[in-house]
Amino acid sequence: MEDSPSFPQPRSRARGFMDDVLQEFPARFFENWAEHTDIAILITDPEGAVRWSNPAFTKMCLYSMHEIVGRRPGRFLTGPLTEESARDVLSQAILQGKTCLTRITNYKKDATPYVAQIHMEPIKNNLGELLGFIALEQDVTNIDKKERDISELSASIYNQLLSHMHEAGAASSAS
Amino acid sequence: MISPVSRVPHVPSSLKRWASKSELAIIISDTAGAVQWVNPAFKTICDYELDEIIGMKPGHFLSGPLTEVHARESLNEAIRDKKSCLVRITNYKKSGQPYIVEIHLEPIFNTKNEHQGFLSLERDVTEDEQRQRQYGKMNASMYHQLLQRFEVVKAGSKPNS
Repeated sequence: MEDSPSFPQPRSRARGFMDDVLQEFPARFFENWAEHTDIAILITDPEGAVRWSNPAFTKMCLYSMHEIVGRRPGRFLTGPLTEESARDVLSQAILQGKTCLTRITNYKKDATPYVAQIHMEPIKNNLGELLGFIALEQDVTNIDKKERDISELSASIYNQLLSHMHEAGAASSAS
Repeated sequence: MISPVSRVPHVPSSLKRWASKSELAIIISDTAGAVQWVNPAFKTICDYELDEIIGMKPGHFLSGPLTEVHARESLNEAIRDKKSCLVRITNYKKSGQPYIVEIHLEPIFNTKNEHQGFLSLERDVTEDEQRQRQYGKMNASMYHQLLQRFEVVKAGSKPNS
């Protein structure tokens, strides 16, 4: 098991084929990244059932990997506030083996809702056969709230301005 | 009955497969931030091939006049301090055309907690950014028009006008 930094030696002129370089590249490197990243990662089978999750996923929604292996995220993460449209985007992507990017309200194990931004992509072998999916998820609850706050604020300023206009208009027609 | 353990895939190879085909640009750099590997999506974004840039620092060949200094500094600091960082930055393609990317850079440590390098995920957000700026401009102009009308109405309401 190689664990030391084993970068391919920079060659003056690489052969230029990404696959050649990738062959030399230690897959363990990606695993080290996945173990430490702030991004929550799920790997599923082709039907969308969980096969692996990283520590950041557990941190985000409080489920440990062994609790969710074999289960579908749509079954145990969703709840009353979960957007039907976002669920559709994800299930369509799974049906079609495609990439998708969506925001969805999910629920932690303790039932707290949170907003996740999910980037899901198929994992395929060299023959193009679907092996499963990888989902990269980030908790964007705060960003989402901020965005909603700004648009609410903007709407309220707009409404105030409009009502001022009406008042002024009423005053001018009365005079 | 299949035990859950047997259903766990070989994670490193799944991740490697994904990385080599992902629509997100992925860059792996050494501890100093010099490029060691990029996936094909990286070429889609900026037109550089791995053999043109291996060993080089992205800040040296991707930046240009519109590149935000504060974003570059965030990236440099993250590399120096072995920290993660999330920024939007204007970079330049090989052809000289600017684009905006969201970069999520993270340090990589092995199981002995030794720093091995960095992994960056990059997504082209040029359209998203343009839409946001346009939306901002539209909002501003609507506001402006409304204010002007407000002034007119207010002037009309004055008894001596």
